[in-house]
Amino acid sequence: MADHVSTEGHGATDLKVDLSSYRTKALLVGIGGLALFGIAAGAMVATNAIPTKQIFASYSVGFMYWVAVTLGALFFLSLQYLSGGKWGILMRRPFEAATRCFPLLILFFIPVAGSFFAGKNSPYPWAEFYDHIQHETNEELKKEELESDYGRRVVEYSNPTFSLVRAIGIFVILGGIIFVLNSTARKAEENPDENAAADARARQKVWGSWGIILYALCGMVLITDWVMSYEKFFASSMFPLIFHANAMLSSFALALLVLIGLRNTALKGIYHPSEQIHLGSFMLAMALFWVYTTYSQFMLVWAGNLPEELGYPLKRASEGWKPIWYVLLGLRFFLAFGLLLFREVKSNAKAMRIISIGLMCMVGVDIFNWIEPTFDRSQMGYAPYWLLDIGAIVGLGGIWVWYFLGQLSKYPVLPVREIYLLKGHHDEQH
Amino acid sequence: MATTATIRPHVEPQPPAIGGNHNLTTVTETISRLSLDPKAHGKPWMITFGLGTLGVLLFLYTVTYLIWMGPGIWGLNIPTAWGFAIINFVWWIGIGHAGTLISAILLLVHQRWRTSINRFAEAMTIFAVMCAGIFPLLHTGRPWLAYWLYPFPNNFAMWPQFRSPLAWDVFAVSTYFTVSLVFWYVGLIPDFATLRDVAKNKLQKRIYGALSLGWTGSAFNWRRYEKVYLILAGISTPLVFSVHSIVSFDFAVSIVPLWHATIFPPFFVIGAIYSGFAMVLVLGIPMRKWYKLEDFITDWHLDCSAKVMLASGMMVSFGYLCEVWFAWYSHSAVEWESTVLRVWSGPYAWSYWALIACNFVIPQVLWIKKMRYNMTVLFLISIVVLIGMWFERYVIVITLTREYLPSMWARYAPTHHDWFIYIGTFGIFFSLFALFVRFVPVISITEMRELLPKHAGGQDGHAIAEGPP
Repeated sequence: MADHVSTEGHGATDLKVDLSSYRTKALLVGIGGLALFGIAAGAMVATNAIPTKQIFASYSVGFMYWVAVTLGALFFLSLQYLSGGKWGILMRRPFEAATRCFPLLILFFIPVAGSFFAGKNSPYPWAEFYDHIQHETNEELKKEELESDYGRRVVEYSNPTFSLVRAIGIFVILGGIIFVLNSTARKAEENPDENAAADARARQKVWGSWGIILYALCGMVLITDWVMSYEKFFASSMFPLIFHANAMLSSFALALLVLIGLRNTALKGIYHPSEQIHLGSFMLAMALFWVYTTYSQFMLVWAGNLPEELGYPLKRASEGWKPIWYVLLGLRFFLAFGLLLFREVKSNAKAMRIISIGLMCMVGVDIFNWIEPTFDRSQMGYAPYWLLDIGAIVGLGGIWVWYFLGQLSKYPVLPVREIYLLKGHHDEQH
Repeated sequence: MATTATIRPHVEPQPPAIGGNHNLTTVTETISRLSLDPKAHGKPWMITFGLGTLGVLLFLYTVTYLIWMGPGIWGLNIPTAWGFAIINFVWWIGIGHAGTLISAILLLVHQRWRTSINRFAEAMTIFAVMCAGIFPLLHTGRPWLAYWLYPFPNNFAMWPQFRSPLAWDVFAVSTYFTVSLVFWYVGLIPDFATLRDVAKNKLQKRIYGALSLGWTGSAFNWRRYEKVYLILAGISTPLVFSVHSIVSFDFAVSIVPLWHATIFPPFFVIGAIYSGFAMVLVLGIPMRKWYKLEDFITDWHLDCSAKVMLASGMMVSFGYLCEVWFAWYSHSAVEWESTVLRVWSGPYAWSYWALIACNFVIPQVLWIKKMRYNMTVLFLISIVVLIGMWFERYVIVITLTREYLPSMWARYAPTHHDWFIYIGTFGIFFSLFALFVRFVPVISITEMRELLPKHAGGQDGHAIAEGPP
């Protein structure tokens, strides 16, 4: 069922979409994913095939994946409001809808917060260390451990309570900016008073700049706390950029999938192959940015050869984990680069749909590669724990997509006041 | 439930890329006059060229003395073995970046505002890279043996150390220079042909005729030109990122505290863009005033450049924050103590705060639109950014004075010879730039003509080979 929005100068345009059937499917997929996660976790823990911390770690993979998608959307939305480029007119609504899924992240975060306080069952070494210190009876040993570099970090920064406080701070700050961006967007679009709408558009630029700044700062803290701290001593200033590269790519690929999905319905006559070529080129740039940041980090850590940081690439380059690197390098970089160079591919909706899905999967593989190789498998067991990772990504994803589609169908899929900027509409105006 | 709303689309007028009422003839005349008519250049040109030449003389004197005496006349010591040479090398290379970014990347992403600033930005790139190259050559102590930096069969079994990023620099910088030069020259060919056609002086006709390589303006010529220009833009784009990334590796592959930072490659690239745009503004603002080019280099062009400068400045500042944050987070005693010395208790902490003031605090003024449109403010902020970016490299290099062991600690101070060479490279840069302004079209005539609206004989920004829009 399409609601009716009339835009003066453009005639009547059906820009609201009914996505209820897709929502149901997404919810079913989500329930299936969570069922897989629950059953696999229950079975493996019950048979002592994996320790409890594996459940938290696998859940964390799924959680971080959807954090990346949501925050990537926040970045692009802020950038679009700030710069006002034509590229974002088509993608604005999917990005807005994705940012409005932020409350779900708070819900999804609860088990992660639980893992902060899970003591020796926590996948975070600092949480385990903190618990160990609490129960250490030998005062001399305790003092020595607390005075070590790592001990000082845990006391001053990476302890469960302070980690939770920071997480709450991140949710409040990012939630606040997302709320402001979305409410300003509504005023800019829907207020019939031209002056009020113009004021709102001016404010969008201001809030857009704040959105980018807060995204960058909070992103740096959250990726340090929630992912980098899985490795006891590893600290890389490039890591936030690698997270941003993944966040941008996954959210962009998702928005492109929405556009491709709506090209024959709500966006018919508006979404042209030429627009898709530009968006495809944008995606190519993001694929290159990922390999640039990842390779630079790998090369510099390898060249530095310092024991506190070398563990990170060595674990991931060891037997068993190597194929992940090959998959990432082959599919995410070489294949994506090779395909996205060609206009014929970028203008082909079906090809772009496959590439977008493929790249979203590759982001999942990369996040898996951040977290899982951290653990010593001889202690964590060799059971097919990756089923849990898949279950977490799909399960949380199904719920996220269900909510996202609901948000997407709430408003017209294009900012009607600005679609004149797009090809075809442009000629109409001038 | 169906809802109906009537919403009026808002139309924001796009600023014109060319001001005034220009047509094909006036565009050609205004730009070509600067290259063909000596009277078009008054006192400002004479002063720039004169000061530049004085700088060149100072440079020649100091280099002669340096070659006679050796690099010992510089303030170098152990541990600060690189000193001014690497600071100025990185600073000039960084400035060179904006030219290629404007020419190649903004061309590929169809940004109309690049058109009136790309030509002089490319010239700036070439001259800046030349100035940059001087420093490592002189730092070798025997610049006449510089060809040893390249691998070639020889009886001494001399071979570059390919595991050193310094050897990568040789290839990266020389490739960058070559591609930038070819890109610049290819873009100039149709303009040289225009100068050949409108010149009245025989000598000018011959020289510009030779430089235009037999350009006839045929459809075939245009098609080939557009294709090669686009290919060169494609080749230049990765070079923008690779050159400064490799320059950053000079520092980051080492394990010197605060040098071994994985964020260095993008941090250096964005810093280069920052200083490059600052130099574009430093050159563009007086040039458009002196030569009355306000119709071509409009306030909008400078506003866009200022926005890029502000955005890159914010990213650079994010890099500063990341450096401090991860030094603290790592809880590595060496990293954190070095950071404290750098920002607080070390003898050069003042320079860190100078860079923060110049690169982060002062440029915040550019958030205000009025300030971006105030040419004096914009010019001054650009100079401040150039100073700040120099301090950034200074702060990195003098970290060497406080390495792992206190027994290695030392002070570093440049001598007047260091300053003379640095000032001398300004002389080279500005005298070459003055010659460029005198003899070469400072704005692309071809692209400005394409940018004209259809009714004025232009192409509405479409390439000539694309045919009428």
